[in-house]
Amino acid sequence: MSKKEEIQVDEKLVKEIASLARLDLTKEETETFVSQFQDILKYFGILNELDTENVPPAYLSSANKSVMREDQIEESVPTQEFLANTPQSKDDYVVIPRVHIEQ
Amino acid sequence: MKYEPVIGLEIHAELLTRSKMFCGCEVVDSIIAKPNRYICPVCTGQPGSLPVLNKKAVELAVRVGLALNCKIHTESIFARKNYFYPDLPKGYQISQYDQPLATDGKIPIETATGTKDVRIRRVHLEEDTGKLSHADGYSFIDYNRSGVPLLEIVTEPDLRSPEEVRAYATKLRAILRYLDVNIGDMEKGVIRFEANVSVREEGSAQLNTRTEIKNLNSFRALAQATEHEIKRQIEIYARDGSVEQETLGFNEATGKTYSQRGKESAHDYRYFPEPDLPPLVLDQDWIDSIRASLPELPEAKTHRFIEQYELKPQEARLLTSEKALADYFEEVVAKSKSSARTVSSWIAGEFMRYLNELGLGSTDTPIPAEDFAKLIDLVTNKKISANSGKVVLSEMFRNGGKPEEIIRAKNLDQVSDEGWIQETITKILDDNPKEVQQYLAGKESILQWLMGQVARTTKGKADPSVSRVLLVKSLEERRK
Amino acid sequence: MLLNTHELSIKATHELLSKRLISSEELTRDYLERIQRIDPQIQSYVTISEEVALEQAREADHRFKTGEGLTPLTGIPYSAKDSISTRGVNTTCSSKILENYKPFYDSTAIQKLKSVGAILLGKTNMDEFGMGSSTENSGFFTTRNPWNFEHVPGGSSGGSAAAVAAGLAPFALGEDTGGSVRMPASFCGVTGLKTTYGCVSRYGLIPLVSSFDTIGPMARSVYDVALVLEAIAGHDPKDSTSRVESIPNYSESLRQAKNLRGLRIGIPKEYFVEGLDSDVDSALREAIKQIEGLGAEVVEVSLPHTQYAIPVYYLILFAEASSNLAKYDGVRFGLSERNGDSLLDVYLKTREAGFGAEIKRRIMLGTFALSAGYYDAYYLKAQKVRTLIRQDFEKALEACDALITPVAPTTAFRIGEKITNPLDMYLSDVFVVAVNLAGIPALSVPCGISNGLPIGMQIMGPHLSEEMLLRIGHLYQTQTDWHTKHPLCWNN
Repeated sequence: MSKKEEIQVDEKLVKEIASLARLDLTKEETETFVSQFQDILKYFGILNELDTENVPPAYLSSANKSVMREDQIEESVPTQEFLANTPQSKDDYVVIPRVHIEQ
Repeated sequence: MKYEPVIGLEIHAELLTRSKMFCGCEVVDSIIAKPNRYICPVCTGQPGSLPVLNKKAVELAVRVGLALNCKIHTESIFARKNYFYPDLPKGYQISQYDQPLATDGKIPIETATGTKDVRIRRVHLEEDTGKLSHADGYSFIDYNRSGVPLLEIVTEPDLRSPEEVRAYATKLRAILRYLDVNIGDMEKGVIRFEANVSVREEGSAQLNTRTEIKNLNSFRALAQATEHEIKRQIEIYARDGSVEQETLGFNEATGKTYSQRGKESAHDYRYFPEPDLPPLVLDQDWIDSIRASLPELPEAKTHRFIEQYELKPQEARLLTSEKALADYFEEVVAKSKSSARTVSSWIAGEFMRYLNELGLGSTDTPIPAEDFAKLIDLVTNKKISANSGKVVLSEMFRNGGKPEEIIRAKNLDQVSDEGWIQETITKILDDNPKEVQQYLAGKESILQWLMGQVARTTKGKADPSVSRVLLVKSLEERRK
Repeated sequence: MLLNTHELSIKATHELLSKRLISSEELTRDYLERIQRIDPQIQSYVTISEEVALEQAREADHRFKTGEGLTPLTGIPYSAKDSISTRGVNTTCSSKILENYKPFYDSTAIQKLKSVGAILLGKTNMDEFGMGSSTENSGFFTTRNPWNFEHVPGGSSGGSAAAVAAGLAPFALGEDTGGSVRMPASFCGVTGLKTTYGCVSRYGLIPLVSSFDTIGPMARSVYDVALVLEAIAGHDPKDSTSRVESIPNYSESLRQAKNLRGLRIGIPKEYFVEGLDSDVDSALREAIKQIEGLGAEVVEVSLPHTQYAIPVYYLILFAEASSNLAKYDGVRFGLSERNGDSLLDVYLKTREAGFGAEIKRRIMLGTFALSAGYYDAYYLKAQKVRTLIRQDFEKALEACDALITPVAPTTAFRIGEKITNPLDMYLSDVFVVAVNLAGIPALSVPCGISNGLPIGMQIMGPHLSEEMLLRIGHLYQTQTDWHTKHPLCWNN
């Protein structure tokens, strides 16, 4: 990303991000984030000083590779233990307000 | 202005493993199991739980990749696909994005204009979500299915008609069943097809906006939905409109697609490599041993049947539509002295008919190959008539038993004894002078009725070809 | 009560129990009573699991009676950071969104401590979901530094460190993602170990940054830390990132250790720069002299990409945390606001009510960093620079065996001092985060006091070099007595 393409953080962007993250921000929070983000992102721009063209990303150099388990059945957790923490359940189902959007 | 459809298919297939993709919970039929019975911290997304990859799922995925002629990537990584939905317990699905397991494959399909290759863009592993049901203003979540291993297979947009779509879908399903990777029940949702449809001017190379059709429960729905959508888009372009990118459902009753757009039409999944899973590095030896153990696939088997057994392409394709059926056919041929073509027509005909009637699947082979072979030979050698053969087959289906026993019990031996048959014919002609006159007057169709009388009187035992010859001769004699 | 049991090391406590001079139940009650008495001033504990503790104590007593199943940690009480899942005991991550959440399974580390007969006293306070360096971001209350109640204990394992420093637990399990064991250990004058990534199983650890999180012990001496590490380290098939190498007998190695002859200690020049408090600087130099005195050779090395560690760390943290926190949606567990109309309302209201400001900020930034169009510029870039930082350590650790640096540029700052500007808070992590990016282990050992507040020294080494780090720290502690100094409330 060149210096020219510096991200402009505005209320629209903050609201879009909040929606993706399922966060309901207050007007104050939105305003605070707009100013804080601009500073933080500007600071992160320091990484552009480095040429990383031929540098592999670190997530490929894990100490472990191909960790797998045999296809064996293990005992499941009793339904009631799982549902004990559930805010709302009925007849062994987890209950929520009706979903209208298909995924 | 002529338009051509540009269609790609995405398939999600549940893999036939005993346990889930990232945990040891048993994989069950979530339609019949008690809800939330096969769960654990991992597949219910409890904070702090961690995934561990199922080796068998990887093996099955490699099998499919090889069968689809893909390049198997010896190093692939898992990625998180982030979105909010109640059937997705972690708030992300572990899938593969950059660096999937397999890419760049192809399989041939039969079209009206000949064979063509459908390119496979990618094959990758991911986990299934839980199941939602709805009633009375609430939704109910069952996580039994959450974490079941899924294989996603995506084609390039190489399909050009609903027929091609259907041909590809059928072919792919057959391959997955052949490989013992998936049982292929679309109605149960064990294999799911999604069509990405767009149209463009014939001859153009550009790709226009496409729509995505989901929740198709049968090949019929898949073909119909595709057809409807193609028409719909062409109509839009014809009146200078533009097609919107959206997800559609299909209403089988009306035969129309409909928009499923919710509040959010744009999906930003924010993929990034899954930090809880190290890269998957596949040993080349392992891949080679999987390749060596692949069964003969439908395409190759079909060709071989045509060559080896001199079957017509249509017959061969029917027999190879299911591996179990093809194996059964070959077993029967091996045990029978009749020609392969004869065996083929028996299986394609009567055998399939009874399977359907009795509601059995085409992989059910309730009659031992040996016995079926014996029965076919008895008919071929004219020991019993074809009709009697059908009766025996029916009995074998319903109550089992060996052909010779049933023939004896039902007294179905076919008699070719001309003398005995002649006697019967003479009596029938004597008893039915009117019909004789009708035949002699030119009504040839009455012969059929007379043949029927012979069959009835001899309880099917009289060899029809012999009966016919004698009957005609006898009738002609009465002309004088 | 004949003696102040809280003043004893794990080894000495264990001897007392073995000789049956005190029962495990009595010892546990001592600690519980002390917590009741002193913790209200410090607020290191979120949950005190009295029933569970006494039950486990009785079980330990049974072991002492039968002589079966005895280990160095049998009968020893401990506290665990509230991000470590404990079955049937509240595990809140100091967040309102998990305020009453009781996991139905134990993390592997807790299971291991159960199996050796250690006793869970309770769960300790932290920055909410580990996001912070001072424990001021806790969704409940701020823990006080036992050395000076107006100062922070460090974070995010502030409660764990404070509990150990104030004698409210012989040892504690902390968790280090970006200094979260080392900083509070340094600020509170206790010994804390950030383990090699994958050394201790993460199964059951509620994640902040899946790529960096580690569980590590905190105690009042390196020897005690070694005893705990022996019990909790090791491969776990439930954690795909867990290392497969076998664990050495750490305490045995310490018992055998005589000096540091032949060891080369690297001092990275980028860590001794302007901005470093002069008392911290002199304490470190004194400590390095002590280590030279033990026979080690000191060399200067360079970690040239040090200044980039903070943005790299935070970008990856924001991204992974935003994904890890998506499961807190009011559907299956935790806080659930159900008085709205739709599922979307449940999501929005629950997360609004349950998450603190810093959490929301980081989720937002992480969501942004991963968004289409920005991924390459931010997340991917950070991962690439992370490789450069790892390479820095690999190179430096060819020229030497271990590195020594300060843990923080200052001693514990005042409560409220840095909380208003998030960027300021992020920058105070400058000495600790690079270690997490590389996944290497680092030990924080008390090495001085300035104005009544402790100073810590950080010893880093290559992957799975805990044995060497503990040896260096242990021998240093045989020559010095900083780790034996205690805050005033110690004597209460």
